[in-house]
This record gives sequence, C-alpha cells and structure tokens, in this order.
Amino acid sequence: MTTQLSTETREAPTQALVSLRDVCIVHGRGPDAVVAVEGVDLDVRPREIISIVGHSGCGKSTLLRAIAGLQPHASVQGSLEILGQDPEAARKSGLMGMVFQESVLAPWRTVAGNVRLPQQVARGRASKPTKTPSEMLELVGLKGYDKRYPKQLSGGQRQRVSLARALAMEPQVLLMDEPFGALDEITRDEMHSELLRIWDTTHTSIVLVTHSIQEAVFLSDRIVVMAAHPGRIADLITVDFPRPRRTELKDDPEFARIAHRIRTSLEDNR
Amino acid sequence: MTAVAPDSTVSAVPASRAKAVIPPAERTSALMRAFRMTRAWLLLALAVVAWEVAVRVLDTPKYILPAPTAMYDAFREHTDLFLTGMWATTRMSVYGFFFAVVVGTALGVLMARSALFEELAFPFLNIIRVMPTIAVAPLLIIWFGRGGVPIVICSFLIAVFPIIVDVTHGLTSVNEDLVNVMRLANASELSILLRVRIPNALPYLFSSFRVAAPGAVVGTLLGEYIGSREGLGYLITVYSAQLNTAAVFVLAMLCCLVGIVFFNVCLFAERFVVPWKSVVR
Repeated sequence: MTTQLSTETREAPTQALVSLRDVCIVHGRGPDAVVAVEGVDLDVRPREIISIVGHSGCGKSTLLRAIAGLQPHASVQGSLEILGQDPEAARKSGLMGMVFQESVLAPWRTVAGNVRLPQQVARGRASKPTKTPSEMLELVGLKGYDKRYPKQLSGGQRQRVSLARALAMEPQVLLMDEPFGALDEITRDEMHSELLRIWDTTHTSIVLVTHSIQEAVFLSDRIVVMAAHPGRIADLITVDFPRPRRTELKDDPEFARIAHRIRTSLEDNR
Repeated sequence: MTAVAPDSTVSAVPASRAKAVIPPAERTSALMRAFRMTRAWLLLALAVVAWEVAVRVLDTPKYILPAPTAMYDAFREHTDLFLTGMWATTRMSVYGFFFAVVVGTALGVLMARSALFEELAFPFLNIIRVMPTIAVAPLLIIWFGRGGVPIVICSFLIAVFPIIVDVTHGLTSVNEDLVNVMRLANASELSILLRVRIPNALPYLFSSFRVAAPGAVVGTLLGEYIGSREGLGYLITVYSAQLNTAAVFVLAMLCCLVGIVFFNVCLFAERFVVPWKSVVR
C-alpha cells in the first residue's frame, strides 16, 4: 500500500491509525461561512486512548464527526485518513464505532436487539463480527439483560448498551462524544474504570471528546487541548501513568499536576 | 442520652437508634372497592333516572324531550332496522379509515423523504384540507351517485389529514445520532427507513388514529346525511323529518357507540403494537 509507505517516512516507529494533516472544517459558504476547525495535525496510534478537551463550541465534536465521515464531504479540507482510507470509505468499511452523549437506543428493540441492529444492516464488510449480542452484553457487565427494554435501564446501563453496540462491530477506532456527560458523578467514576477494563479486551483505539479534565487525564495516553475561534490544537499533553489504572490514581499528586496544566492551558486559550 | 464515648478519636457518626415504623396496609371493604370502581356509572344511571322523573313530572311534549323509557321503546320497535344501519355505518367507516391509513402513510413517507414532493404537494393538500367536506359531499354524489363510494370518500377526507401530518412528523423526528449509528454500519437508506424511521413513526401514527378514527365515523355520517339509502346518518334524516325525537336520540347514541368502539379499538391496538411509547396529543 502506498499510504503505508508515506506514513513510514513520516513516523518511523508506529504507523498511525488515524492521520489528520492540515485539517480545516468550514460550515456554510460566502459571507455566512464559519471556520469551525483550522489547521489540525494529529495522529492516533493503534491501541491508544486520545482525548480532546476544550470549551463548548471549540469544534471538538465537529472534528470527531469529520473523522467518523459524518460531516459533509465538501466542508472538510486537508487530508484525513483512517488506515489510508478517507473517512467516508472508512465508515463504509466499518472501521469506526461511535458512542454519543445520549445512548440513542431504539426504544422499540430489546437491549440485545439494539446491540444487534448495526450487525443486521451492515453492508460491504470484509468479515462478519464474531461476537454475539449476549457476549457483548456480558463484556459490558450486563449479563442477562438481553430481553430488557431500554426504558427499564438506568442511564449508566443504557450507556453500557450503547458501548456494546459500538464494539459489536469490532471497530478499529471507537469515537466517543462526551459519552459520560449525562451521567451523575458516581456512575461516571464507575464507567471510567469499566471503559478501561472493556477497552483492554479489544484492539480498538479510542478518540474521546470530553468536558471533564479528570476524565481525560484518567483515561488517556495523550490529551489534545483545543482552543476556539477557530478550533485549533493549543496543547498536546502526554500522560504516562502505567496501565491498568485504578481509581486511586485520581488522588495522585502527579494526576493533579497534569489536570492543573490542562486547566491553565484552557484558561490561556479562552 | 446515654454515656458519652470515652475515646475522643472515635468518629462522630450520629448514633440514633430510632427504627422506622412501617404504617399498616390500608383496609377497604369489598363493598367500598366495588363502589369506587363503578361510581362513574352509578352517576350516569342516576342522571338517567333524574331525566325520566323530570320528563314525567314536567310532562314535556314527546317530540321535544322524550323520556329514556320512550327511547327504549323506540329502539325495541326498530331494533333490526337500527342495527342494520349501524352495521352499514361501521362498514363504511372502516373502509374510509382503511384508505386513509394507506394513503396517509404513503403520502407521509413521500413528504418526509422528499423535500421536492413536500414543496409541490403541500399547497394542494392544504387546499383540500381547508375545504369543508360538507361542501364537497354534494359534488361527490353528483359524480359517484348515491352509493357507498361518496360516503367512503367523505370518511377518508376527514381521517386522512391527521395521519399525513403525524406520519411525516414521526419520520422526521428521529434522533439524528441513531441514524448516524446506522450510517457508521453503512446501512442503506432503505434499511434506515424500515428499521429506524418507520418504527419511530409508529407511535405518531397511532396517536393520529385518536383523531382520525372518530373522524372517519363523522365523515361517514356526513356522507349518509347528504345522499344515501342506509346507515345511521340516513336514518336520522328520516326520523327527524317525522319528528320521532325518541328514535333520533337512539340513533345519535348509536353513532356515539360506533365512535367509542372505533376509538377504543385504536387505543387497544396502540398499547399492543407500540408498548414503548405513547405520544399524547
């Protein structure tokens, strides 16, 4: 593959899974046009968790949707590749899964039916997913919930189903758009550890958009701090805590130091 | 209070030993429960008795306000005729409602999926919508004669619009992120329609039935009023011309009955088909 060659020349040790070069995203045209994202360079490596933090409206969700191939093609400029494919092609070959702030489950389907939904409609994939909905539900800690309906679950449980649905397609990249933003703090803490446990059993990389500095530091290998108007990368912070990480880490002084750096960086780039 | 803790390092957890008292279950006699379940009906029965008494005491002329017993007599006298009429009205309403569901759903899908279709069809649909059915009915009879066709069309015309509006709304009010989940699986537009948009629109469809089903009955009665040889609407014109007020009252109550049955069948179907959601209007 030619793309492999080009990435090798750029970065010797690890081939990038997602590669963004000079990415700009513009909404609309003419005098009403808004530059949502400008000049973003970023590589997501295999099996990496990378967080994007920033103020509301800094274009972080837009950037995530562009990676997912859900932004109109014409609005995205520069080069954006997932394993050498453009986002739309990558989306069509099922390389990506996504979890949103709302669990967006179909209320007319059982929990297992919701996990199965993408598998039922998937087209043009090289290989069929190997895990059954029941196995996926067991993985996310909802063993035996197959026949329940979404409205019978709590917010945290619904989000677990949403995660199971995304992972059932065995994506290379899991995109998460403020996935725990609608949960209460106790549930959120629990979900952080759960996400790491589940991620450990898969091969997927995670790109996580979040408002929570704690969440970003606890989960990520690297953190992208974005500035607004237009959205751009203000800071890139590497988090070296070993894995597996435990909840106690949140009380570590080094943890607080990194969190402080992110907070300062966000304040400097208001 | 009892003795103070001897060691000051013992944590200061408030040490109340109070136990919660569980209130005993409420007790009601079987008679009281039966009364609570039936009190709305008892009130209705009481009203009927009061009516009967009032008519007898005041000696109201029969053609102005007949007593409930007089209505009962009228019903006994014409039972077969009235029930045949009710059956005809029910049948026509079912046809009108059925066509309204089919056409309304089809138009709703077209409007929701094609902006061009909506733009082109909307003015025409709106004109038909605001046009009073009672003004069109004589025209329908000129075109189609005094058979069942104009009646079914009247019924259809009243029932179809709430269905179009709600189906369109139901198809377009899908959570976009659920559609995005489907897109990430590379689902076709057809499977998004069949597996996400249509199930999402079902509660809206059933909620439209709450307006459309009684509407279909009203449309049928209207058609029968203007040109028919059968049905409750026709019978009402006949008996009101004879000043047989008791019979008119009975026929009006039978109309109510048809409407109530229609409404409740739809309500029952709604609970059965879309148990996950009810769109209350």
